[in-house]
Amino acid sequence: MNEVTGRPVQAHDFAADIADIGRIEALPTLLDVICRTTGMGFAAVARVTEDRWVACAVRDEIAFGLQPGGELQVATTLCREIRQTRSQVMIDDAAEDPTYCGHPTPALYGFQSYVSVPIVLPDDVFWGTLCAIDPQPHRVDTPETRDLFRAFAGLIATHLDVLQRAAADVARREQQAFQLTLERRLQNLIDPVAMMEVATEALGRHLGVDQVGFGELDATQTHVSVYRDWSGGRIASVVGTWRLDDFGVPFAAQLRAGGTVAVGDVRADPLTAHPDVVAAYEGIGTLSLLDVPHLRAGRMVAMLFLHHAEPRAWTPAEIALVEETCARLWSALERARAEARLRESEAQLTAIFANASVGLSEVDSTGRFLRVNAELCRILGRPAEEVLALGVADVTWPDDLAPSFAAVGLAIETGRATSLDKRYVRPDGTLIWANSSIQRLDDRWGNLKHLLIVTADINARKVAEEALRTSEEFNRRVLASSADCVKVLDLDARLEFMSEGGMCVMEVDDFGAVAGVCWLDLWPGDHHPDALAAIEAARRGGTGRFQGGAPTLKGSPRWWDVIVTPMAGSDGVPEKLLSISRDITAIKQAEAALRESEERFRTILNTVEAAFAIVEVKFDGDDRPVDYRFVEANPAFERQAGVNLRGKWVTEFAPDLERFWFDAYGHVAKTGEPASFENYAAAFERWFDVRAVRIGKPEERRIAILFNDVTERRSAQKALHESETRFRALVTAGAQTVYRMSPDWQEMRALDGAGFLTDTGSPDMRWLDAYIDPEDRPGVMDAIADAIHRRDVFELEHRVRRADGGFGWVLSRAVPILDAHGAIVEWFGAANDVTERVQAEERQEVLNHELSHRLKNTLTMVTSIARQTLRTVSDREPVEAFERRVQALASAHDLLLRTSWASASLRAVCEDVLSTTAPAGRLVLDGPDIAMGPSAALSASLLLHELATNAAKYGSLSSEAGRVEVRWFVEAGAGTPDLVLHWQERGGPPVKAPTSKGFGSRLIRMGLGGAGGVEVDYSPDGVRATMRAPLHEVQRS
Amino acid sequence: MTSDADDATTRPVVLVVQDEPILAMVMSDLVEEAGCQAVVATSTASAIQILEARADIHVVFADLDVRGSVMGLTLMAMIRDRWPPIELVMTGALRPDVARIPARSIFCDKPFRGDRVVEAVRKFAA
Repeated sequence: MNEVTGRPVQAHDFAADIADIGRIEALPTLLDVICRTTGMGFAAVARVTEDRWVACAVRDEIAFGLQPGGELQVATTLCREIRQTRSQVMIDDAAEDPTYCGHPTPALYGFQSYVSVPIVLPDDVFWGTLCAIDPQPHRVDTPETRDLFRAFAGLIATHLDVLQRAAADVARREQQAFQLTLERRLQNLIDPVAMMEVATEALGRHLGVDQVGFGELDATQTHVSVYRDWSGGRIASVVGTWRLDDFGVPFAAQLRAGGTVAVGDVRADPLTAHPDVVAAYEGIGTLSLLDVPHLRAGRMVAMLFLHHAEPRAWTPAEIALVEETCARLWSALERARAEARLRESEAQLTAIFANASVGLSEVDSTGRFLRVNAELCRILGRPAEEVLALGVADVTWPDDLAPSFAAVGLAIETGRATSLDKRYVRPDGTLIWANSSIQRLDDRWGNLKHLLIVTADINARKVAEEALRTSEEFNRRVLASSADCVKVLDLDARLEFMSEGGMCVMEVDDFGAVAGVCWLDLWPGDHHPDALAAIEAARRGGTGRFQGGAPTLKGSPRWWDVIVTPMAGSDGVPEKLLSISRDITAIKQAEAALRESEERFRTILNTVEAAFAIVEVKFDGDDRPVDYRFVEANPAFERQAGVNLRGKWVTEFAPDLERFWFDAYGHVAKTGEPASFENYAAAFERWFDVRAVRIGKPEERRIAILFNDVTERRSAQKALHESETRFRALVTAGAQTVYRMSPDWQEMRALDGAGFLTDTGSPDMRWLDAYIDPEDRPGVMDAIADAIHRRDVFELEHRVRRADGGFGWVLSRAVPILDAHGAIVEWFGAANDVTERVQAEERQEVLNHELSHRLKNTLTMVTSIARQTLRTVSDREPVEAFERRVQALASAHDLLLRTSWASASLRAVCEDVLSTTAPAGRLVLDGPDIAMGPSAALSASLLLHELATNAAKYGSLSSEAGRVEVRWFVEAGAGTPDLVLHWQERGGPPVKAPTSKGFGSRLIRMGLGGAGGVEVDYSPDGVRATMRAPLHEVQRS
Repeated sequence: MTSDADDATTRPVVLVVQDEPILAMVMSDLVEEAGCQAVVATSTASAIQILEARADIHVVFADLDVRGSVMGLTLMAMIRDRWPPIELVMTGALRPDVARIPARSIFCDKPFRGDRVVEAVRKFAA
């Protein structure tokens, strides 16, 4: 029994109770007797459940106003207590009763006397009460009255029990009848869909439900497919596939767990009350449902569902009926499907057996044919009836009986299919070759039942094989003895055969790897078209022939000489193609190597700058060389000679050629000793570097000469030598170290360290390691790269490792030596020891920093002391002005520090002083770069500070839009040049000349050089100041 | 100055790092002027000890020129690293490289202007 949940599963059917009571004919009499004997005015039989009190029969003489079906709130009655205690309550006079005098019930219903006894069914189930009341007190709490009531209650209980049993019996019989009928109807069906139709309709009509359907689930239990449903007309068909979770995830989960779901109202039940789910049900017109899952091996496979258009309470009997129907329907479906599958597979097997293209037979263990098919009958040459009357031994050629028995024995013993080629005898006495495969067939307990023999007709093959074997053997021997690759191709050029020798040269280990391969595919390269053309020619009956390169199967490159010819069939039409390929790789390679080497040689001769010629030397009768003729000359040679020399005798165009040349070449031609010399040819006014060797046969007197015009090099070397000597003399006079570097500075060719650096006697590739600290190398390399790039002077002050192991500083300068084409030949450099100077500079810098530090600290203290001292002065302005002036002074000092108090840029002074007062967008600085001396820098910064302060207070910088323009230039007047600086304020409020002559005004009047030269114009549209000072004074340090 | 400024316990505490006595005095005065309470460390080592011992330091006002085992911007970076909430006001003879100044800090060039320092300390102590 499945678990049933959902709410309300079952609402109590009070109408049934009232009807049951109504069937007790004596009941009015009983109530009458009660009223009369006790004097009570109201008596009733009430059905009392946990939460309801419903009158089922009433006798009312006091106008209490309750009819059968009328209801009291159970909590307000005493019956509930009776239900719990199962004992009667009897009250004579509620006002006097010690238990009930304060009880609200008597007051609520207006009674004084009360009797109520429980009605308990024989199976000890509380059913309700028999009760009576009256507004007047009565003596009812007596043993007589109690016994009377008990007897009556017992009577009613007995009646009810009988009635209920009868009703249950009827229901059970009805259900049994329903199931039996359904079972019978299902048994007669073989179509699963028809079964679903019958079952759903029967169930729907029996229970009066709007819709009944049956669905099956997919393997993942996600979707349910409904194939058939029955509907009474109020709900549309739900045939189709649905996602189970769409009807409520907990709902689906419960079904998957095997729990029946009975929902009286989808809108109220927690399993379905989600808005989406309610919408889904409303979409199929359903308000109540009863879904029964069917599980197999823990997995839900199907469900039977009942849908109703209105809320409906499902009784346990209904639930049980649906559950049982579901199980019955499923097993009926399973049975039907299994039968259908069996029928199908049987039909298939029968068809296969009958129509198989091989002979099939079932044979019993004695060898008798039990079942045979048409093909076997054909093989054996007998009709089926005849075969079925025989045994295997009767149709087997006697020579093959022994192997046949052995094969059968092996098949029975091992259980595996066993195959053999054997001969059968036909009725006409002929033999037929067949392949028989014997398989043991067992019954379900593993005992031998039959043998299945599959018989294939291999007669044609056997005969052909035999014939072929004899002819092939001969051919094979012929072909195997050839080193050529002989192939037979079909007309589509597919490989059918390859000779043994061919497999060897083609590096084919197993013909199976290339059988059926298109021969053209073996020609992937440039010769594919040739191969195609050869095939085409042979197909037309001609002969295709070509030479081409193609790799072997293992990828070794080969060169082939190929002939393709047709192989005509009996009708003279080409049937196959014969391709014979001969491996000519070795020949080709030799040819190619020769050609390549010649080509390479030619290319070299044609492109090298060196002149090359082959000459034939002419000797006179005394075997003295007298002339020579150019047999061959390369372009460089002719370029240098300026004429086409080929075939000409040298005396033709250089009649005065020195004797030296004839002798030199004659010696080589005669002796075969190579010669190498540099010589001047006056006829050409050039220097030549010459190499000569004899070539060819000695009697030909031919030599190859290779020569370079080295005239330029010789003159450049000479020039270089002279220049170097001069330069060396120059630098050694002043420098401590002289060096020479390769053009790319990789190699230090020489270094004369003069005791300061370690000397290098020989070229040194590792000079960087020796002299330059790793930390400094990037900087040095950058400077070198830059100099090489510019092909100009290298100059750098850098640290070097000195001969004593410590570090020193050098100022190194090197110049590139260029050849006639401007290429660097080498670098010539000199380095001076500047260690002392650099160290002094470093010390100076440290000192300057320390001084600056102290000066600024002191200035800070000065401003601080002033601030402290002037604390009590209420006017803060002068104090702050003081601080700012000191700051302006300090900033000029900072600028000077950067150049070790040598100079400060005028622009930097302006920027430093003015940036704190004038924002960037409101300041224009325009003028050349001028380095001011320390004194001028200090006074200029104080002066500019004052101007800026005034501008910020009263001038253009006091307004939002105002700005300041500072422009300066050098004016070359009659005498010495002057520095002129213009201060112009614009866009400020109208200004007036100041009345006071304070410190600020006096600072301004001091001017750039401290000696005046200042004009200040307080023009209303902006202050304008022009300062002028001799440039040399401004720059004086 | 408001009256509650006299209540030492409620005023933010500023650590002044300075080894020049006169400058230390001036810097303390500026801190007081900004409404804060000054604590003076005359070496970087004692500055670190104070920061380790006291949890109430809001701002460090340091001269980067004070010598010590950890000095200058290294000290500032260390404070920012170990006590991230502490604000930094610095001064020194040389303006350091801007990229090396810790974020959210102010550098006042020497000779610093009193009003600028007071403004910076007040802003950070608030």
